[in-house]
Amino acid sequence: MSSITCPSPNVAPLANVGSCLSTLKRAINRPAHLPGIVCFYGPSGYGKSTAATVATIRTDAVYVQARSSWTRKAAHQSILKGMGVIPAATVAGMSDQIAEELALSKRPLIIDEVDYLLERGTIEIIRDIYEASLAAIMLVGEEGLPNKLKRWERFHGRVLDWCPAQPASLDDCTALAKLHAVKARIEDDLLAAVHSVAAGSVRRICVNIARIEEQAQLEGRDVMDLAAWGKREFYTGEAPSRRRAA
Amino acid sequence: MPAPTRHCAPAGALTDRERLWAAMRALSVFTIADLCLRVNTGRSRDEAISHGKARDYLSGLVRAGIVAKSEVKPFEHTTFGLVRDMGVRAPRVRKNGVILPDSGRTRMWKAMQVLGEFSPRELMHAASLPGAEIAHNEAKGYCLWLSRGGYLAQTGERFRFVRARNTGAKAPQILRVKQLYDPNTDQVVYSTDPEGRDDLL
Repeated sequence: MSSITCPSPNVAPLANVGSCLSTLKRAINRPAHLPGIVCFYGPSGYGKSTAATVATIRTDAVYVQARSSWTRKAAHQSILKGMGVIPAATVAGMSDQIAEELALSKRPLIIDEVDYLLERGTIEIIRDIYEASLAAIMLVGEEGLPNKLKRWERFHGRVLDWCPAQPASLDDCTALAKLHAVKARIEDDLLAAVHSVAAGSVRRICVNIARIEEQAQLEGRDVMDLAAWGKREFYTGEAPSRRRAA
Repeated sequence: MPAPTRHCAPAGALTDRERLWAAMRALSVFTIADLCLRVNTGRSRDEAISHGKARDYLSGLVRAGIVAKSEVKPFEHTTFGLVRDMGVRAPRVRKNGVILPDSGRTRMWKAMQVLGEFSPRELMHAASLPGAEIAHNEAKGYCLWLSRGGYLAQTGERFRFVRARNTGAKAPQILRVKQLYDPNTDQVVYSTDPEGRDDLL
């Protein structure tokens, strides 16, 4: 039988997706004496949720999104809902349930929007769960996460690794175009322009790629390059500037 | 040795395999008859799980190393013991012992909650695993059905997950039902059992 090469994984080969996944895997496969909490943080628009999604699916993680309204009880209930467990009546009971289930299933826990927990001071919940289960836990948050966590000294010492989300590179931009512009090809010079205008934001790159694809379809082009795009504006996420008088 | 007390019970409606798994966790050491007795007591005949079905699932679990089987002795029932408790979720194993990842819809259901806002293509890429890819049509169809049910809000080709409709860990399933309809009496005379779940194994 001829050897069949393994099809390449279907995920965008984006830098952040790779680093987020490998950080979480490091926490899962860590030696027993090392702490098991990792942080993934960065400004919005850098593709954190895409990276967190791939990490969730690939590692079969339990994912929850913190909210500003999270009390201790609500937090525990949300996590149990994500695990598919009928919650116990008390917070202490629920805490035991979460720890037991994480320890038995060996699934990692991903907590998104963790900034809310820091603002409310309920971050100790996570430490309790970690201490009881020793499960790998990934906190996903905004840019200032490491600084905010410093206030919680007992927590800070349990972090194995800090993984900042990186701004989108030109390679990322090319990968995104390949993945999302299926109906038209975008030439490298136009992609470079998109990349420079996006200032590292994956979201802006995606919006621009979608626009270019749409315009190319409207004009019946298979390929769009910088010359064909001309002076049309890109999406920069900023409010439109005042028009100059002609 | 008494089984350690378990704190966790699975939420939602249970499939046959999930019921069997919950019984195995509760009993810890059991014969097939014990298992079926526990699963079937208090249930109607239609809902009963047959010994054959239990045996099928057990043989997969034994081959996967999750359940151990005692020596087969003449005139004695074979006993089984749970050796690797993997939590409330029933392990998805084939009969040959291969452990399967979550079903495609389960993975999409999870992925859309993390993504928040997405196109079916993005969802497809995010929820695919090497060796368990999701087709674009499948992702698109699932998004359309979920938006009909109010789980997703659609704007153009993009969808947004409605957080208030996060009903739990199990993915909503698209089912097929065939019905026999008689226009003379304006009645549905017969309908088949629903088919098309992708999370039964």
